[in-house]
Amino acid sequence: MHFSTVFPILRAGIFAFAFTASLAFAQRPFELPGTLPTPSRDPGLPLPPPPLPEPRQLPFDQLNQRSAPDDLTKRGPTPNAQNVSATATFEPATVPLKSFGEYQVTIVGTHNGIEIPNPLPAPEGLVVELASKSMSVEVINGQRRESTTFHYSTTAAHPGTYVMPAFTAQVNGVPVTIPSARVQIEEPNTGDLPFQTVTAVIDLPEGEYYVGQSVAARLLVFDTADENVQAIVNVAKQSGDVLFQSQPFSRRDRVDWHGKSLNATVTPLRITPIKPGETEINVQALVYITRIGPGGRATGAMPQAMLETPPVRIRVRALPEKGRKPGFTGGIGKFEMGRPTLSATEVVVGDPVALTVPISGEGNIEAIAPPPLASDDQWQSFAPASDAARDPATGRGTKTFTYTLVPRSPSLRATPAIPFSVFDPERGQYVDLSVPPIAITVKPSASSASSGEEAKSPAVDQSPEPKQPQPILTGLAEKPGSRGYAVPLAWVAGFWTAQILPAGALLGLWAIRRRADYLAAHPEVVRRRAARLAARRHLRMARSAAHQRNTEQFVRSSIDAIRAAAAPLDTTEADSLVLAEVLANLPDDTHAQTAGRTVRRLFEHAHTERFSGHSAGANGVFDLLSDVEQTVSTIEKHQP
Amino acid sequence: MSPEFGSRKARHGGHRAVGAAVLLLLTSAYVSAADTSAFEVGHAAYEAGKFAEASTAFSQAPTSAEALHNLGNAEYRLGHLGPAILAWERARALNPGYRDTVANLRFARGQAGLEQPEASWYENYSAFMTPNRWIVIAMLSFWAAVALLVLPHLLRVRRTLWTQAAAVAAIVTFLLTLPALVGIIARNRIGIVMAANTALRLTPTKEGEVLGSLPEGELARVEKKRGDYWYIRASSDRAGWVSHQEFMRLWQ
Repeated sequence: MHFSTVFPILRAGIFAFAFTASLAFAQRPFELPGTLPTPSRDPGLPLPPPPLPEPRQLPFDQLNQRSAPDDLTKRGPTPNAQNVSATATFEPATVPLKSFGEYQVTIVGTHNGIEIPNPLPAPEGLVVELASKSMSVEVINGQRRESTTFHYSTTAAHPGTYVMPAFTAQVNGVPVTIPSARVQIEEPNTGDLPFQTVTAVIDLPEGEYYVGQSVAARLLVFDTADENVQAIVNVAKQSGDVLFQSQPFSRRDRVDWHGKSLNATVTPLRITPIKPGETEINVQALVYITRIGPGGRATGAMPQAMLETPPVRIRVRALPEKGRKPGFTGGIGKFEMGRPTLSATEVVVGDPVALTVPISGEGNIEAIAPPPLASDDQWQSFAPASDAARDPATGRGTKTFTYTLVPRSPSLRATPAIPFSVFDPERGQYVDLSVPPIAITVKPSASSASSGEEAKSPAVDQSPEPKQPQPILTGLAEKPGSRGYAVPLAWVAGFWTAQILPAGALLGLWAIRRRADYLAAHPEVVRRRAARLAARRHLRMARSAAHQRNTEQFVRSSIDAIRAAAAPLDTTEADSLVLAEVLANLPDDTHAQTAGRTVRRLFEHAHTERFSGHSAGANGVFDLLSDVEQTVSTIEKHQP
Repeated sequence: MSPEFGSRKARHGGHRAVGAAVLLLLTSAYVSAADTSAFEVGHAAYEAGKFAEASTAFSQAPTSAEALHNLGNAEYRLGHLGPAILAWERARALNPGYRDTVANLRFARGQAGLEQPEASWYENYSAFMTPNRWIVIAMLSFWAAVALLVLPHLLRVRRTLWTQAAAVAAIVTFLLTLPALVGIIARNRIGIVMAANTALRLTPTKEGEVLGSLPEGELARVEKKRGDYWYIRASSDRAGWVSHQEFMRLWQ
């Protein structure tokens, strides 16, 4: 055969196979959940035969509407009833009792406009259920030939021969006869195994569990010779004091289970105990199943089954209080800390810097809270942010704590250490994972450098979420405190009155100084005052002597008074003045009159007492007192 | 005079001095005890929730920043915003560094929606210390400067370097007090609206046309006086005549 002849046939065959497979895969959404029995299986019990499926409504309209891609239908020939033919067969022709076979109806010549009776005119005892619909295109001798095959799952409750009678289908309004077909249902042989359904179990790691621990588990649904698992959905916890989380995907894997290597569909689970003590866990899941026919082929039907795992008992312990380290925030598992990093190694006082701390490992990574870091006078700290991620394949998680720190002092050389610890369930003890200080250079801000003061709280305006403190009414003062004035002192009249004191003192000093200067410039004034004072003093003594009738004292004091009064008029000392000198200083008008007589008489009386050697006696001298006073006054009045 | 007599006389004089001192101490102790009692009575009444009694007691206590602060608290708890702010302003004038009072003023004005009063730079300068402290410093520095300049001449004492330096320091100190004194004089015009919705009238009469109103606790400045009315000006140039009963000056 020439290659040019073989290639189009080969290409058409590959295309038809791919298209058929895609359509077969596309039939899954047409399954009607709930229409099939969903038995609960217990793998510990002998496997019962599956109940016979009930016939269900065939969604022909939907099948027809989603029959084929547009490009094929458009390129295909226009359906012609004369070119349309139909076949019907059972595959296999002989089916063991309580097993499933397939009834196939193939319409050759078109993809569209096919209407199959619903339900089929199946004989009594034969259960026929539409499973899928496939379409194919063949190129034979250069001509396209379309065909559509309807797959029905069949089973029967009793052995015997069942004949599906011929019936009429409508193809684009033209009746097409579907021929009859026969199937033989036989009793199973003695060597045949009973029907085996899929089973589900929970695979939990060995050991003790702690409250809050995130345990990686698996839901295993094993394949059997009669059923294969196609999909698992709606995995849910049925019992157990645990938090339960199922991964949204499953994978087929070869699993060693109780010493056997089995094909299973594995769904990762994550279980977190929440209460100390013993608890039983079991899980329920909705499983899509493919039944395997006698020939080892899938029957095409995909019933659903609600499987429930046997309960698994676990023992949960509370976290030990002993040995708890600072900074424990609920982390349970095997974690390690990555290298903390800073967003900048050199900052200015008041500028925020981000400290990123990564941790990773297996455990409750999502539940770990960032260890708190309180603000102090060195660093201002904001609530740390965290971001967690977990690899669904390995179960390992990574969490990143991000602290926003604001340095308050240029003297800082490192970030603060952050206490942090986790609990290792394998070792049964707490592990210290404290964040070490990271070296950093802090420079003074421009404002603080210029003022020479450190910034006290510079990050208030730069904080990502500044918090305005709510004002409150403060409390009472506890002690009365020192007294004060209700009004300023200057508002009190006494204040200004008191200012007179220093002003008067200064004025007095000034006046005294001025007087002293005057007297220094005029010494005669001083002498006059001294003379007057001396004259007054002597006059007082003269009066006293007159009162006491002491002649000698009276005469001496009177003469001294007259001398003192007359002395300023001359530079001679007062005590040295003689009679002539005193008389010379008397005013002219009184020279010869009373003053002169008084002065002469007093001097004569004194000379007599002094030089005669006997007492002169009173001799009326006391009568001169008034004359003496008058004489002193006269002399003072006539002084310059 | 015999030595005996002299010593007896001196002893008698010492007894009189000691007696006078004891009497003075007892009097001051009695007065202080009475003052403390009023303060404590007010404190206890406030703690018991009897704010009216607390207000009365604190107003009877001797004038101090603490007593005025507590009086403001009691008045505020009574719902008397004007008297409360007045008391706190007076307390702040007596002790500008008392942060609780400043916080309460900010709180009360914030709660009442009142504007924070604006002050000129010399008013703020004068608020750095109490008015009396400024006045005493000004007085002492003034007389010190005068004395240091005049006394050497009057006493015929040679001027030395330290006396001249002291005179310069006194003069500088006095000059520094001058803006504060101006600020104190300006603050003397400050007052607080004591009644809610106090009417600002066009004329200083009871029947004067109402130009607007001021909320209780608003700070304003007196510009003129006519009889029982003051012409006051608040922020945003809201001005008018108010009666004495509706407005209380800071130092009155």
